[in-house]
Amino acid sequence: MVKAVSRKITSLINEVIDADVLVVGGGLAGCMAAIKAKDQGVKVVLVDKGYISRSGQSPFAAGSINIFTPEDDLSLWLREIVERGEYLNDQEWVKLQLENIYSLTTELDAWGKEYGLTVLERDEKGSLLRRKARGNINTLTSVINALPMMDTLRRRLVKLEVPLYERIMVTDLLTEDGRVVGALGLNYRDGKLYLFRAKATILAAAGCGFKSFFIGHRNLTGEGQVMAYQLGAALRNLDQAMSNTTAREVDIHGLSFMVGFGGRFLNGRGEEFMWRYDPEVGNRARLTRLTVAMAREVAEGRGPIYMDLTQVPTHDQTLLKQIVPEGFRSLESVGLKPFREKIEWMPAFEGTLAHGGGVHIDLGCATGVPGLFAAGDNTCTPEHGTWSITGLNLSFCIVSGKVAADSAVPEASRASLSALGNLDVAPLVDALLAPLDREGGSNPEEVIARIQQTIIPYPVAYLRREETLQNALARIQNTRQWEIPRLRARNLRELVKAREVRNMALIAEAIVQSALYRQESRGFHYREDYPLTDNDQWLKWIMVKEERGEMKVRGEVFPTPYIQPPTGKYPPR
Amino acid sequence: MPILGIDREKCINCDKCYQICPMDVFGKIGRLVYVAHQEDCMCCFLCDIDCPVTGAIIIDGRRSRPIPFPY
Ligand SMILES: Cc1cc2nc3c(=O)[nH]c(=O)nc-3n(C[C@H](O)[C@H](O)[C@H](O)COP(=O)(O)OP(=O)(O)OC[C@H]3O[C@@H](n4cnc5c(N)ncnc54)[C@H](O)[C@@H]3O)c2cc1C
Ligand code: SF4
Ligand code: SF4
Repeated sequence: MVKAVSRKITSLINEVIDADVLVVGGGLAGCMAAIKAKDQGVKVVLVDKGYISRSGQSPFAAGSINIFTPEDDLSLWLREIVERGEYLNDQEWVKLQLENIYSLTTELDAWGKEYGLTVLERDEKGSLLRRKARGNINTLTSVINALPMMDTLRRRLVKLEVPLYERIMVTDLLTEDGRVVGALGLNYRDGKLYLFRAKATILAAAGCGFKSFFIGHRNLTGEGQVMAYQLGAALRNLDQAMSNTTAREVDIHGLSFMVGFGGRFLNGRGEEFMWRYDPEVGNRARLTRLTVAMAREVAEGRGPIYMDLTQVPTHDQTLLKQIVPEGFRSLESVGLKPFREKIEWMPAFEGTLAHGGGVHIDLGCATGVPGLFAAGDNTCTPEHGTWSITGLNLSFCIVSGKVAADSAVPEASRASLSALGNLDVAPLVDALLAPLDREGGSNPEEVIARIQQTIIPYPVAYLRREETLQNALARIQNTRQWEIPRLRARNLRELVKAREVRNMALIAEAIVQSALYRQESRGFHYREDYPLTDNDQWLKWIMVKEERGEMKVRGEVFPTPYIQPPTGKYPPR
Repeated sequence: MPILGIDREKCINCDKCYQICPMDVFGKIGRLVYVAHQEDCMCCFLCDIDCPVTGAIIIDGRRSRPIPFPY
C-alpha cells in the first residue's frame, strides 16, 4: 500500500527534498532563521519565491533599525515602545527583542565586514550612528544598509552551505496527524513540483500587500499567513492593516526624510492641514494619523493632497536625492519637478505587511500548530502593538529569526521525517493545478483588481464605518465564493497569480472581519462610528481563526506585565 | 510605462537582471536576456542597481498596471 502511494507521489512530484528545518521565505527573517538553525548543526533548507536577497521587502528597507544597546535604559525604551504601540504590544516580546538585538546586529555587522560590506553605519569612533527619527522620544534609531545587509546574509548562507531553492512558490503545508511535516512548492519557471519533507518548518514569507502602491512588495500575497491559518493558527490584529504614503503618479519612499527636511503636506486650498490634526508635530505626524487626516481632507472636499518640497534647502535637496535616488528618478521620468512644484500625494495601502498584523505567535515563535513556527512579517509583529516607533520591524525580523531557529531545532531533533507514502499530496496538487484545466472562468488579473477596488478605497481602509465594512465584506465573500473557485490559468505565470489572488481574497476578508469586530479607534484602525480609543472594552487582540471551515473572530484579553495601560476612553493618539 | 527595455548596444548578457528580478519580468532565449513581462514590472529599480553596465536598463517610473486609488 505504502509503496503504491509513494509511486503515485513520484509521478506527481519532480523533486523530493529533505530537511531537519525547512525555512519558507528568505527575506531578513528567513535568512536569519536559516543561518541560526544551521549554526546548531542541523540540516536546513531555505526556499523562496524569488531570488534570495532581492525579493520581499527587506532589500528595500529604508535603513531605520531600532537597536537597544547595553548603555540604554530598558524600562524607558520598553515604556516608549508600548505607549507608542497604543498598548496592543506583547510586552514580553518587546523586552525579548530589546535584550537580544544588540548582540545579533553586532554579529551580522561582523559577517558583513568579512565580505567588505558595511551593514551598520558607524561614526569615526566606531560607535553606532544613532539619531532621533520619526516617533523617537527617548529611544534612538540606528542606520542599516538594506542591500549590503541582504548581500551579507546570502553570502553567509552560501558559506554555511545551506541549500537555496529559488523561484519556488510554496503553496501548501503538509501535515500528518495534525503536525506540519513539510511543504509543497511550484517552480514557476520550469513547472517542477517540489515536495519538501521537514521535521520542523519556519514560515518567513511576510504578509499580503495586495499588489498595491509603494515599493517592492508586489510578489507578497500572504501565502505564509494563509497556510498557517488553514491549519488552525490564529491571525492577529489584522484590523491594523497598514499604509504608507506615496506620490499619486509613481511609487516613492523616504517620507520620514522628506518631512524631516522641511517637506509639507498641503490640501487643495493650499493649507498646511496637518497642524489641525497634530498640533505638536504637524507634518511629521505618525502614519496612523497622517493617512486618516489625508482621507478626511478629501472626504470633506478639501482634496487633493500634495507634498510640497519646494521649501527644502538646496543642500538637503541633494541629500534627499542621494537617499532615495530611484524615487526622484521616477518622479522626473513622469515630468514632475519635486523641488519646483508640489506633488500630488496619497496613502498607500500595504495590508498585512510590516506592522499590519499576521500569524499569532508566542514568545518562542510557535504558531500553536505542531511543528510550525513563524518569524518576521509573516507573524503579527507582536512588538509593535499598533504602529510604535520606526525601525522595530527590522529588529523584530532579526530577533524572531533567531528565536524561531532556537525553537525549531529542538523540535526537529524530537521528530522524524514522515514516510513518503504517508503524505497525501494528490488533492493539494490537483487543487493547485486546477486553474490550468478550466476553459472559461475568471482571469486572475481581473479578480486582483476587484479585490483592490474593494479594500483600498478610503471608506474601507481609513474612515471605516459599519455599513462600508459590511458592504466590502459582502463583495469579498462573493468573490471568494464565486470567482476564486472558477479562476483559470493559461500558463504557469497565471497559475501563480491564481493562487496569489486566492490568498489575497482570504486575507482581505480577514482584515474586514477584524475591522468590523473592533468597535473603537486605535492605531491604523479608525472607525467613524466609534471614534474614541476605548481601553475599558478594547484592550484586546483581534484573533481570526478557521473553525469547521468558517472564519471566526474574537477578542482576546492579553497580559500587560510591565506597563499598565490607562483606563477610560480618549481620542486616538 | 515601467521597464522600457534593454539597450542592446550596452547589455553584455550577464544574466544578472534575469536572476534577481522579484517579479520575474525578464526572459531568456539562449544567452540573450530580454524584457518578457513588462506588465508585471513594479519599478523597483533592483535590476538597474545590479546591472554592471550603466544605462543598459531603461526604466521610467509609471506604474505598469492601474491600481485603484484610495480616493
Ligand atoms: C520600502 C520599504 C521601506 C521599509 N523601511 C523600513 C525601515 O526603514 N525600517 C524597518 O524597520 N522596516 C522597514 N520596512 C519594513 C521591513 O522592510 C519589513 O518589515 C522586513 O523587511 C520584513 O522582512 P521579512 O523577512 O519578514 O519579509 P520579506 O523581506 O518581505 O521577505 C519575504 C520573503 O518571502 C518570500 N516568499 C513570499 N511568499 C513566498 C512563498 N509562497 N513561497 C516561498 N517564498 C515566499 C519572498 O520572496 C521574500 O523573499 C520597510 C518596508 C518597505 C517595503
Ligand atoms: S544585468 Fe544589464 S548587462 Fe546583465 S543581462 Fe541584464 S541588462 Fe544586460
Ligand atoms: S524594476 Fe524591478 S520589477 Fe521591474 S524589471 Fe527591474 S527588477 Fe524587475
